[in-house]
Amino acid sequence: MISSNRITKGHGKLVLNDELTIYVANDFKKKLEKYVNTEKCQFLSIDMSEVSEIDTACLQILIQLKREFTETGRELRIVSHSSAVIELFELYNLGSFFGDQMVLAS
Amino acid sequence: MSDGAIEIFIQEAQELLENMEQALLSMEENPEDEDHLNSIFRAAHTIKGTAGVFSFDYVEKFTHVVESVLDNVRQGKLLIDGGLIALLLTSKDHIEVLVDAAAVQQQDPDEKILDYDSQLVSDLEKYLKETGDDISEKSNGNYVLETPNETVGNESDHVEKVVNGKPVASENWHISIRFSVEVLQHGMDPLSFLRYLQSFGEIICTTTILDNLPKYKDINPEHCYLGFEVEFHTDASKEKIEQAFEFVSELSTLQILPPQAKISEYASLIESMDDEHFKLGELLVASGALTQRELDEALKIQNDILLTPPDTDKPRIGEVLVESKNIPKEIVDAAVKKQGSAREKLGSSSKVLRVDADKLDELINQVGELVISGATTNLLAAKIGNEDLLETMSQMSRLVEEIRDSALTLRMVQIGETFNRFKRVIRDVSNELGKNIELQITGGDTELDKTVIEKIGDPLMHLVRNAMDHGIESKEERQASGKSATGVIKLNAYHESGSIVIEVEDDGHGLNREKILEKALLLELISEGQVLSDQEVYRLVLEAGFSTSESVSKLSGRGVGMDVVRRNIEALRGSIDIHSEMGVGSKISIRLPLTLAIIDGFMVGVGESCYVIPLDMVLECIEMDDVNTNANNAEGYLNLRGEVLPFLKLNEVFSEKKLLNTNGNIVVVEFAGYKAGIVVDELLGEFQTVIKPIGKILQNLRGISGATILGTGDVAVILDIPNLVQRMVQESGVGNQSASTANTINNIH
Repeated sequence: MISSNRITKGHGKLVLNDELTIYVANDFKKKLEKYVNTEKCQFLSIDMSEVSEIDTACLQILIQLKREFTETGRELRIVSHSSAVIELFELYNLGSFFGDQMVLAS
Repeated sequence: MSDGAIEIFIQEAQELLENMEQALLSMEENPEDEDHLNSIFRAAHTIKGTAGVFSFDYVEKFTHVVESVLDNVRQGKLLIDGGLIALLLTSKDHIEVLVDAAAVQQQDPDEKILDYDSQLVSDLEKYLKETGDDISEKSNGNYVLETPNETVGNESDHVEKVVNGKPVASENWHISIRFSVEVLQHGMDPLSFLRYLQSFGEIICTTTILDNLPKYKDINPEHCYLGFEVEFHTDASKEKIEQAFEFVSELSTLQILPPQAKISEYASLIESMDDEHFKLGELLVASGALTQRELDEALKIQNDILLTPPDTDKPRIGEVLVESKNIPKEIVDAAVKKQGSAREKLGSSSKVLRVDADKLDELINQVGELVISGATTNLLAAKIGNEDLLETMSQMSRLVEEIRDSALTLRMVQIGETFNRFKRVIRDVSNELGKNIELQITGGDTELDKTVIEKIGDPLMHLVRNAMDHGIESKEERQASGKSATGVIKLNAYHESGSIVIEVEDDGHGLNREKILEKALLLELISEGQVLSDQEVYRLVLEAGFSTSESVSKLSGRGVGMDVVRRNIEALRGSIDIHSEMGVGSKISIRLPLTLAIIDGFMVGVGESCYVIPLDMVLECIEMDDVNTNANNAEGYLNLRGEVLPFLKLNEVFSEKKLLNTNGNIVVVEFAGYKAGIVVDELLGEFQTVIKPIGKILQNLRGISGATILGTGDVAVILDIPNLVQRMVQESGVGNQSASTANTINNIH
């Protein structure tokens, strides 16, 4: 689910992997809670290149996280997408919502 | 709900329950393994969800309790132990019964089942109480289904009466869906519905509605907060689109507007989404469902009806534009998009297809007929001798052969699943008997015909039970004889020259020769003073009514069974070998033909008739002149490069006229490690053989396993090589060394 998750000097770096599905959603939400309403993290980059599967449950969490980042004037960027992620974003037409450049990680 | 859907539910439930059982058994060995726990939880969760959709209340209720217990285990509130696993296993069995009652027999379970149900529930709840979790509230009732909003139909009728709306220009369907929060808990994901839509049409534009998504801290990760507005292009009917959402139709608000729907219908759609409706209107324009003019008209209609002052605040519309338009789309790399849609198509066509077994049988039958008529045509072509025709024919023959092979592989199934079922049996029975028994499975990926697999289950079960009950000794006995306290039963499968061999092996005390003899005397199967080889002795245990066990247990010992096993296996044209060593263990090998329908045959001519030998069993062909047979001819064996080879002359066996002008050929065949020669007049070559069953009258003939129809319309007999080899080996007294303790029993009737 998460292979790296830390904040250094206001810069959060999150690396996600494997399955992000409803079965881990509870855990996933808890682990990401530290980014909500915090001054400590002004910029969060999320690497999703190793995500093999993602479903609506986990996607919702990311969506809301993105919204709350935007609301508080902070920045959340997904820096790398796996094909599963791109597929879902395209299906839900969320590419422009996240506003990140989608390039297939090779 | 269609029958098809229920059938899929049953199949799925059965598969899930099987997975659950496997995972539970693995957990017993390795309680720390989270993967197994998760897959058990998943299985329960999915069954509960789908059962709910079909309103199989009993299944849903019970599975919910099981799921709650599992959830507590997952969260670490509850420690899993042997008792809980046993309870979960019985619960799994119970779910199976409930599914069966609800889905297969289409009735509510009877009282007996319900009594058992409440007993299990109370057992499970004991565990829940330990954790202090009160689920009674939840377990008593099903989820309360959200009442869907007023149907769009009524509303639009109403609208139409007032204003005769004009059709909109859009050629696309508009699907508006708000999932209820529970869909995820019911094991369904909105994305699968969108994916399914793509399988029969093109999604022009999706807009994900995020309005209901609460603050991060308020999100329940297992709730669904999303809604979708989809522009969808398809030639399919509205019914088909509705069917796509069949599983969630009760759980969600679904509105489908056809292409060129009346503006008034859009108006009522916008209206039904109450507080977000202005946003939605803009959204419809943005996604191309409506033009701005149409939207204005729709809003006007709506306002006229509602007689409320128009509220066309521009700022709110602006919000939507920011979200869906102002961010430039070019950043989405066009190439990736193209790639993505190609992937989508691939992903949506499922990898496994469920096909009716009857259809498959019919296909195999037709292929069989094709093979026969192909042979006829071939023969005719050869007679005419037209070269072009011959060439096309040979090409066609090759194709027919390929079709035959692929048709047959369709029926092939791995035996692993059958083997895995025994894990549970071994676990339960070893508890019952107080023995420690371990199951080792090898060769689970060996494939064989589905019909064979279905019929082999029962005989295997019998052999395994026998091995557990009679084969493996009690702990004390084992320790006394210096073996490890845990007995081992091995199941193994592999291919060998056109057959599949399935072995059941135990490391128990083996067959007791003296005891068997004693018992055989008592049953008058043999007479006093008769001298028997090991093979013959072991064969006695396969006789009806034979049991050396002093006590009859619940499992075995009544003496019925082994003869049933033998008969079942013979019905599949198979055979049984028994290897046994006192104190070391015994091994029972079942040898079965790979398929029951079509084989590669080797045709030989004897006298005026044709015979077919299964090609897989043919080792080589030699001319009679090549070997010096004269000396040993009378004894019925010859010298093949230093090896003793028993042989028989087919023309003698089947009383065919001997054609004087040939010396004959010898076809060397092998079965179960034995080699033998068959003397024939002519070698006619390879021939695809469609096995036709022979009638009842001829069934008891020795040496014949079936018949086939040749291209000429003549009938050729298929030789039962196992039987013939057995006869030769017995008559000549020549055996293979490795088979010294083996006993081969073939179709002896």
